[in-house]
Amino acid sequence: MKTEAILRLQAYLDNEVSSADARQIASWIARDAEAKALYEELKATKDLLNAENELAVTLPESHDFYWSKIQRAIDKAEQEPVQRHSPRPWWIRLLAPVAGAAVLGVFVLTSVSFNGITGHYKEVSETDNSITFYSPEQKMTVVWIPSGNEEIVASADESDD
Amino acid sequence: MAQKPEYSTAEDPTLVKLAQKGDMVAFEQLVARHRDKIYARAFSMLRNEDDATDLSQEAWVKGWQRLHQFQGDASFATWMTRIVINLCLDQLRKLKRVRADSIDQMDDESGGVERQMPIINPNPTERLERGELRQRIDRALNQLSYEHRTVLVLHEFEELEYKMIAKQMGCSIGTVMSRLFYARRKMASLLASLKREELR
Repeated sequence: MKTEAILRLQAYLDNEVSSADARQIASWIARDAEAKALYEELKATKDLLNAENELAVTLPESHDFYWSKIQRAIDKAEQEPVQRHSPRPWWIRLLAPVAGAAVLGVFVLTSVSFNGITGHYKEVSETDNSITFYSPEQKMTVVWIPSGNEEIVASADESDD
Repeated sequence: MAQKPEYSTAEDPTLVKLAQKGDMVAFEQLVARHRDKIYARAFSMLRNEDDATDLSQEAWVKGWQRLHQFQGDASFATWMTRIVINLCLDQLRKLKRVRADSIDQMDDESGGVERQMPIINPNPTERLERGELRQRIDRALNQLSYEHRTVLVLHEFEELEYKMIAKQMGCSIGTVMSRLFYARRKMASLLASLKREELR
């Protein structure tokens, strides 16, 4: 018998074939003595194991001892910090990047302000990337020239005077 | 105030609900009721008392931790059995990793061997006492490889379909079918030889 045919025979025994296949296999078993013998052997083993499904195996420990070990393991697991493994709430996951961006923004703003002097800035030159800061309150203009020898040129704004 | 039920007479769903609210006494009652079944399933797969005891305890701890996930679609005992089976399969996978020969290799090597076995006259365990029958089945199961035994246990004891066994064991349905076929034929042969030994 071919492997495929044998496995179909077994699938028939296990009710794992379509009704059309089941009819075909039943008729094969009826006319083929070898198929019938194999089917009966498989069925006998299956029936035997099914009859023994209620295993006569019992736990080799007293209930109190067995339960005490389970309870200790549960207590131990519950004492461990759970935050490490628990997923963060959705709102934290959503707000975390926004908060990060905000912190970064504050950092950038504070880093471009000098001694508490905040102001507007614009790039004054495309060739040397120098930046000009202007503070209306302080009436001051600061120019940053990012060259090898960086220097800050500060001057009082006299335009309004 | 709601009165607590008598734990020993309460039905499983009642105990489960109490345990889900953190009632450890209710959970202990569930353990007392189903511990033998959970242990027996672990033992049938691992064939070792110590391993089966440890793993069944681990299953109960996991059961407690995941109790909020239990929806009651299946019975509590079935749900716990699934947990212990998964733990056994994990354990068997670890064993498989340390074994030199892989399951696939073994399947290739044994391909066709089961077809060569002579067909056994059905019912080799005729007129046996239940205890003797149990012993004989145990001895035969011990002689199967764990891959063949696992397929047999999942199919015959847990009544899982081929598809579910394949999913749980991480193999194809074809592999499940050939392992099951081999396991049954080997069992029939072992049971018959054990009978012959006893008759001598």
